[in-house]
Amino acid sequence: MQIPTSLTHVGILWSMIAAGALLLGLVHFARWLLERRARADLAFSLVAFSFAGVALAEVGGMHARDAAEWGAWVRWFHLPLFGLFLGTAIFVRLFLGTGRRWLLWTLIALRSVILLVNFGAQPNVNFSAIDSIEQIPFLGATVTVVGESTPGPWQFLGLISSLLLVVYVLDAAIARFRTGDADQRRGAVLIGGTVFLMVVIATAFTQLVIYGVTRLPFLITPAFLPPLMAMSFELGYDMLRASRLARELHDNRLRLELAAGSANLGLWEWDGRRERILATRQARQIFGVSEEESGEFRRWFEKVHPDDAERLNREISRALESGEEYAADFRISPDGASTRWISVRGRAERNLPGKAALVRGVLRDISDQRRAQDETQELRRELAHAGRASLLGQLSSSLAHEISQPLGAIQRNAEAAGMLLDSGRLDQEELKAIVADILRDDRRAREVIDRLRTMLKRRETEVAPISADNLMQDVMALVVADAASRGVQLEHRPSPGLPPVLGDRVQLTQVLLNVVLNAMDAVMEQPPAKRQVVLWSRTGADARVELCVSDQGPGIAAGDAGKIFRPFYTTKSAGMGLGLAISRTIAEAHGGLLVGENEPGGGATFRLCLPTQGVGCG
Amino acid sequence: MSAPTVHLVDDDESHVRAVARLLAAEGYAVRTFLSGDALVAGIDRDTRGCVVADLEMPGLDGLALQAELRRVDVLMPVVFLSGRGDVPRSVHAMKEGAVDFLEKSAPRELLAEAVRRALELDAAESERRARAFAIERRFGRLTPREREVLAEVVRGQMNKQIAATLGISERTVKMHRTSITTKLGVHSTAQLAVLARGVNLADPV
Repeated sequence: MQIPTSLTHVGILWSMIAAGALLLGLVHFARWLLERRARADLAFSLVAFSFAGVALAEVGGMHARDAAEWGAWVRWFHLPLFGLFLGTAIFVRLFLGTGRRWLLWTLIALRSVILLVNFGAQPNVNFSAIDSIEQIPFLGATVTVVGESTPGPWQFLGLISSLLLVVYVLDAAIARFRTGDADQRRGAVLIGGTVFLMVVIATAFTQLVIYGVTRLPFLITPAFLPPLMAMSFELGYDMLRASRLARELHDNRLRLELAAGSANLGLWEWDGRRERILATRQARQIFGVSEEESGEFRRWFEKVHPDDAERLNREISRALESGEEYAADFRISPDGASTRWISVRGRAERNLPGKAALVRGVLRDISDQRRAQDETQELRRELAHAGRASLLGQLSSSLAHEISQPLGAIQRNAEAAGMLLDSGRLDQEELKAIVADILRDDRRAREVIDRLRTMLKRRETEVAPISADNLMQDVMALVVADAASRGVQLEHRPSPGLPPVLGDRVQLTQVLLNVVLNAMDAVMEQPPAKRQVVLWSRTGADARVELCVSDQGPGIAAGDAGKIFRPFYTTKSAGMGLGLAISRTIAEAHGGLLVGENEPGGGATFRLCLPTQGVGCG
Repeated sequence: MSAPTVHLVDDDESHVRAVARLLAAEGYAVRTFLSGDALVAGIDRDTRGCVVADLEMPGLDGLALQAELRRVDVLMPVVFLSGRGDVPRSVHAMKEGAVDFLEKSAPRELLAEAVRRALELDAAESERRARAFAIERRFGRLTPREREVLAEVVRGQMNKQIAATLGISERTVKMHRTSITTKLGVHSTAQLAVLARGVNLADPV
């Protein structure tokens, strides 16, 4: 075997094709080196290199000077042919993303067997004997072709492997064609079609040569040129598309930043592998972090209010562990003095290829919103407080009585004790009894004052679980004296099994007190026997608890039903018309409801429906 | 007839016990009641003493209790105690014959004074009643004819005129007058007139 020294036209053409293929192969191999994910490029470079090898082996055969040399060229020809089959099959699988795995493995195994047989047999797998060669004119040159010869006993294996390749490629192309988009369909048609056609043509032609039907050289090179071009075109098109996508992505990012900026949203991203923060200008402005130091997570985190830092950290860690979304409101101090409220929400991603973890987020300055909320809440608290003061005003005379009774008793007891002492009769038992009575009355008076003070204090809302019965007992303690002096029979029917409701004890007492006083006013229009008000509770819809106040009064007048909860609407001569409006506001701020309905048998029932622990509000 | 007793009425047990203690220390006999109804059920028209009642009570309140006592002819003087200065009600109470109207926080001396005055009034009243009772008993001994003569005497008629009016002799009139003065235990016509003023002579027994 010897490299031909005199170049023919065919030699030049085939060499140029081989060189071109090598160049293509190198280009795509280089691309794979830069972008390891581009494995289709690696497969393609294998195809291109193998193709160059095939071309060289072919041109070698064409210039062989005797039968043995020609046979040797054919034997070596099988090595790049193996690469061509393998590369094509793998490329199809990587590029189209389809192709049956078992067909691929069978093909590889079969071609490996062919390769083994080829190098074990003499002169090669295709022939068992090559008796002569001939020189024929071909494309303006004189080339060597096989003359008298006998096909090898295993050469049908090559036929089967070609069939297998065709089936595999067609199957993969059809599968891709069925499910892919327009670009993928074109790729499937182009690659599947050219591989199918050219493998069929090349195989048929090769068989004709092997069986001596035609006297021509093997012409795999020109036959496989179209599939090679098709693959190269598709890869190139893919690269083109990737760069177009990259440009679109860049445009999109600019648009997103513009939109986020105009909405005062800051975008930030924490890259766990590089431990860097990437943030937009808005995000940096919100946090008061300069561009130079914005990469360090520490620079951001040190601005967070110490009281909120742990909560924020926990929330983001949780998102990192679970890969879920996160959201938190927290305070920061951008300049070390002022305080801003920030809302952040986003998503953490784990197990990204090549990245440890990534946290993305959107920052928003919600200080103004927060302040407005605070002011609204403050106003609501003030209003509720005013409402309580007014309610207690209605009770003032009975409350004064409740306080003056024990005070009067204390005074009389003290006077009696003074007289006993003056008289010199030191009746110890009597004096002890007097002191005990004084202490008890003192406690009684203080309890009333404590109740009043609790109701009259300006205070923050404190939400805690509390039982319906406890709330009703609080209300009973406040109104029982008033009810007695007005001749109203006030009754509390406890329901011990109910789950506790969630709310502010004082505000809920206020709502019930308001409703109970209204009920007592309502029954005052009735004869004494019907002056009944009952406090009771039950489980309502959505696992809420309903605190009910039922009266035997005249009920809500038909025209009033829709108006009684409106501010400044009143049916009483002395009312401001704010009690029920405030009460409903309180109920709704608790995620509850306050409704009033007439009973079929007369009278009205007002229900305060409240969420219980563990049941969402809404 | 029982001894003069202060009847305390207040729905507040602690308060009623304290006042009772004080009045007992002042030396009064005291009975306590937790409602007006309990008081009405526990006394009769002959009960002596006074009533000290809370003006604000559930059920029978102070003024209603006062009216009820009058209805069942219990004439014991009533002293009202009130937790609040309530002018219209105090005026009403006084018009209905309350002896006094005190705030609950009034000093001990005022309360003791009010109770003392009430008991005095009751004592005077019962003395008056006892005297009237005794006179009526004495008048009861007179014969119908003697009553007719007495009525004429009290009107200032001379024996001769009386004899003419009643159609009896002047001597018989003199005899009746001697019998009357003996029975009533008086010694002069003037005394007779004073005594007879307390009795309704127009209404022959």
